[in-house]
Amino acid sequence: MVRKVVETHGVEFSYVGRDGSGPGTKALDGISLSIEKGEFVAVVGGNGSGKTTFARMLNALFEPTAGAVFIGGIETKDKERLWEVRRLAGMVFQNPDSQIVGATVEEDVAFGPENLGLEPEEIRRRVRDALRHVGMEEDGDTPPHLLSGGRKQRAAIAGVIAMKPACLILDEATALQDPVARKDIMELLRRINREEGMTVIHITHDMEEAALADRVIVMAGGQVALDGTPREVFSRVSRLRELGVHAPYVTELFELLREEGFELPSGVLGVDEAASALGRMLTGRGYAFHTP
Amino acid sequence: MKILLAAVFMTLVFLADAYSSFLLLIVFSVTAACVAGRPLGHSVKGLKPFLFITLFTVALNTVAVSGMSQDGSGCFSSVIREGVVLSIQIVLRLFLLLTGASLLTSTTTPVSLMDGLEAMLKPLKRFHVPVHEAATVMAMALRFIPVLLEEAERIYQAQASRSAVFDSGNPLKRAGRCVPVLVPLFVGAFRRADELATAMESRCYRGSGGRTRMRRLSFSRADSLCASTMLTLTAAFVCIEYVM
Repeated sequence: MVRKVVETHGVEFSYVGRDGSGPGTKALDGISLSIEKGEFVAVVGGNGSGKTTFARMLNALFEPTAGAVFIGGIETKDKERLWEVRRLAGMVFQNPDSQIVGATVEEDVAFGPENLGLEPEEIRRRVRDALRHVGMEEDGDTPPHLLSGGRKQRAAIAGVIAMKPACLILDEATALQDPVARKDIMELLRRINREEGMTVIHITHDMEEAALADRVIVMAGGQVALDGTPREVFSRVSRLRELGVHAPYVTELFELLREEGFELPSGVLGVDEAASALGRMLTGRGYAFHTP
Repeated sequence: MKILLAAVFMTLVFLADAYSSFLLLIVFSVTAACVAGRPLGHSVKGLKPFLFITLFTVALNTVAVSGMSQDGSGCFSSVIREGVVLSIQIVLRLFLLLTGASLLTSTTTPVSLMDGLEAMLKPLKRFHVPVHEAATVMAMALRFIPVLLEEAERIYQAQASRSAVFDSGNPLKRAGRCVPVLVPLFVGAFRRADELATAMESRCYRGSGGRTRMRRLSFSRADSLCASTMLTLTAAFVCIEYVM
């Protein structure tokens, strides 16, 4: 098994101008990175930073104009192994309504494996397993338009899992969901990542979601601007501002307090951590403080 | 299989002429509906939208048939009767057709229908008819009807909230006012189609080649039972119509 699930070397990509003339602006400008098996990576960045282009690059929907992309050791330019690349890089898109193909959840989950030309028994088994992973065993016969948005997106995730990909790429898959569904999907992704060792690449605008990842990549102007653990990345509040994104609110608040001279740790993630850090500081200053 | 049976049934409906054969067909469709576990009231309810068209046909037929054979038979009242009889037959025919069709569609999911159709038309592949592609297109169309309806409703409301008026004026004006709904709906549909194509492609869809199905269509015992029932029915029908 190749340890590096995703590897890119100096990837560039330009959308062709509308009149088909010369290349337009560079959407991706020299991206070199590698993602190991089992990592949970969040990709964030403002609109037009190249996140979505990058995702489509991984699925061989776009071919790099320069550089190379390897998925599980296979180059995406390799036309003969194109379908293998597409299988290994399972994509979930933003709008569940325009990616669900089947008339029932079960049929939709079966769509991918059917395309791979598997035996009916194997397809059946995969569909069952995939539905179990996303907690939708009961919904196999439901028509997708009767599901809630969150459950539709779960069904879409199941459809990708059933193809046994090497990594799960979510292209703003939570953007159209309400907060409850978002939280749900994040928990689901974390669980699949932990239990199955599935590599997850989660493209998102939601910084609170990004904070739950193992690694955060901030993109700006088609380049990787920051890359590190959420703690490292989100502690750089002013740099993030420059890049057109912001840290999670709690993290940002604590960084601002630090600048004001409060003795607080850097890169605080989440409300619980913030509360205990605040507690320690106050106790240190002689205030009586009870952690709730 | 069901498609074939339904087709046979419908042919019979069209051929039926004698009262007794009508009776036979009615009895058959009612029992079939019962066997399928669908209350008859349901299918009658399904007929409601067709009531108007039915009535219209009746009226038209009464008039037209009366007019046509006026010089043939002298007695005016008998002509009227002929027209009425014919229109009753037509109503029955319509009723039977609709129950037959609704029986087919209510007991079979669109996808298995499409699968069936695809399997049935497979021989055409030899003549380079893209059977699989056509069936997929149909299946997609069926799948996206609810989605598009939802979207149409949303656009309608969006336009209405910007004080577009839809429900007054003469029919022509009303039709004209549909344009602000239809245009965004079409644009949306195309965008959606593009997204769908991308999603399908990223899930390794590449046309009919190398694709397998989770559900194999099989000729079950129930199917052979249905087929033999249909055969008996056809036989009885032929007896009534042509022998008696």
